[in-house]
Amino acid sequence: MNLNWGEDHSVLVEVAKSVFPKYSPLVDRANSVSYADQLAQFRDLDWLQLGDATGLSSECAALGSIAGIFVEMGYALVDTPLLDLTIARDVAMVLATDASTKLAESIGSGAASVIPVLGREDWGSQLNLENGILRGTALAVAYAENADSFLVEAVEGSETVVAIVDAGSGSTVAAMPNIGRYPLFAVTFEDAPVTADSILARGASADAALEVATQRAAVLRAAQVHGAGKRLLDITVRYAQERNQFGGPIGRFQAVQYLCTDMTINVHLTSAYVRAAANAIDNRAPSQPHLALMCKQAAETAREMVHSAHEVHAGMGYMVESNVHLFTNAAKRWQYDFGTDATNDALVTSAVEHIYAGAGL
Amino acid sequence: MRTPLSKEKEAWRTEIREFLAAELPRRDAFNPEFDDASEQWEKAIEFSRKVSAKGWIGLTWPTQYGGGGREPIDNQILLEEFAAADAPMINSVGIFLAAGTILVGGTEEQKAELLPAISGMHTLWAEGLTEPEAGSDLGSLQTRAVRDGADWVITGQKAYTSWGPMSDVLYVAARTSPEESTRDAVSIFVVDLKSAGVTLHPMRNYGGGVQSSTYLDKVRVPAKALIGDEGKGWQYIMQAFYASGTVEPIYAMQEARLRDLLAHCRTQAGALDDSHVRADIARLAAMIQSQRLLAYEILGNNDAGRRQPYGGAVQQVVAKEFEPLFAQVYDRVLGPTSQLTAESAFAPLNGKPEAWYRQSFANHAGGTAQLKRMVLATRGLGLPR
Repeated sequence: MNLNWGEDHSVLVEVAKSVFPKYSPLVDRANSVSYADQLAQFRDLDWLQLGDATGLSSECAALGSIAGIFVEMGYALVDTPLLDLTIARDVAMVLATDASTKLAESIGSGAASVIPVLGREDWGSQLNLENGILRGTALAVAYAENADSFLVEAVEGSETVVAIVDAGSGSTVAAMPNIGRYPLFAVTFEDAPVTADSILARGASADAALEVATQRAAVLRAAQVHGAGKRLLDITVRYAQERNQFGGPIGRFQAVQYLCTDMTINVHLTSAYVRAAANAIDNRAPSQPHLALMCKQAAETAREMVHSAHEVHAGMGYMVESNVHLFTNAAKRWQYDFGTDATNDALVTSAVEHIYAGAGL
Repeated sequence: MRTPLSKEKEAWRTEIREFLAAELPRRDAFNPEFDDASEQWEKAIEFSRKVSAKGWIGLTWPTQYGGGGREPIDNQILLEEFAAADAPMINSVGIFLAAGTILVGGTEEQKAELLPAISGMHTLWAEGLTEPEAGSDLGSLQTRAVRDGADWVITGQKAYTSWGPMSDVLYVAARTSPEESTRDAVSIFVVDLKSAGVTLHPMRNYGGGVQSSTYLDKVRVPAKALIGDEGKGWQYIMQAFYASGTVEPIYAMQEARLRDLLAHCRTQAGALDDSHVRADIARLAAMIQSQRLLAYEILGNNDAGRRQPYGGAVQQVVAKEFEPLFAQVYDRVLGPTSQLTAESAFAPLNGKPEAWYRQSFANHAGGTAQLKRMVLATRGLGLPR
């Protein structure tokens, strides 16, 4: 299996390296770029139409290459709505109806800001559609206040429905203040009308499109964790080299070396899992257990890297003037983007059981 | 899982609980890392004065110095109940570090003057032990005190001074004899924070509180500001931590959090039937009990005059390594809502888990778990450094 990044990876990475550091909080805490400016920048860079979730076009950047952008985004510890817009576009592309194709084009051109509102089992939120009326509250919707419209996953009877709902049409958005000061919102639909025209898909085709988009999103988020981990490792190793105690740098103590090496192993493993998963998706051979393993590793890395960094930095890491807490905040949020350990464990266990029963993957 | 103590001790615990129920409404429960807002500080002062009026500050000190003359176990029970209630424990530097030092090495005059002022809540102390370049390595202290006639002149920088702006005096460890070995070169001083040459620069911490960088620029103090004997600071500091005979009862605070977690789980259908949740809760219960058993072992050893060569390092390693683990397990049980702050309507337990998570990274005070492991290995097991 080729675990190298895609061919156009280095080009995208070079561009990303010139984009994200400009508004990295690691460079200047006061750095921020408005949603509109970010959207404009991504549009100008053609990043809103990277990749082909249908796997049909060979001209689009491979997922493994797009992941490079997210590695750099993580390395600069910058938050953007790029992942959310990509998810919405991916769903629309995979559905491949006239309406969804038009929607994908409009997201890709930056003309429409479409934010996904997906069912989040771990948050206990689900939207219900009945007789053309959408009801319920979706939690942890990122950038909801900037949406022109929502790409909504709802349940109608026993089947999944994907619909497009205009923001403000029977919906209210409430901020969900959180540790990372990430723009999370609760979106409540109260008797929001959903016409037949606005339903993009239902049943198996809706489930399949959501699964593709979710898998691609997990890879990109894991890439972001990898990037942040690389940066935090750099910062931590440098601190261990420069901080003197008991007559020399603390990095000469095995206890500190093990903390740094544990970080390295976790960060490196995350990178390997990301490349493997991206490779599988690009080759149209994604497997849920492999993705679950990647998710489990990325969540573990998010948890462990900040723990180790704090242990090495000790009192200094606890001070706000150090940057360690910024990674801690981000990691706390990311670790929940990969599903629960229990869900991932169940997927892997079931697959292993399958293999040992002689059925193969 | 607390083993019941004697009827007399349980009655003491009940007395403390009744006091807390009457004097510390839940809305006033307070965590010192967070609540440095002036309004919270005033509540904490008011509450602490009530504690002082009960004679509960300096419970184990001799009565002639304003103490209670009680056993360490009584103080441990008091600390457990205060921790469980998130009661404001302000002036802990004065009550434990400074008072411990004074009891161990102070002159009779210093004991008679300084200790009643602490137990009476008249003098609040800030810590001036840690330095930016030394941290846990007391041997690398750079702050110097030089004798000038009848006075001492102190120059240096201290880091992470908790409660600095609210305190009256600073507990200062300074090098007084550069030629001598570290163990004979450090002395302890009490420095009025209003003295000329003392400046505090606030540093916010991740838990939400404020500590300070403290600069001492040729601060002149009288001879009586030297606690005990010159050059004995190292020994005083080491012994001060044992002076109360008690152990910081982090486990009591964690037990209260576990109780809240269980109460929350009971409101979530099926949560307690989940084997992962049950496993997590069992882990939490085990870690709390481990700390409690180790704490009481130390208490017993102190009472019997036995001292392990590595001090309380086993208990401290367990406590320090379990504190972040506690937060992680708590997060896993609560799921993603644990990242929501108190301002969010969707935050469980009023957003406390988000704050507890941030606070769990403050397990470095007094030395990291790695440092305590090193103490255990070298002093305890005789392994080479």
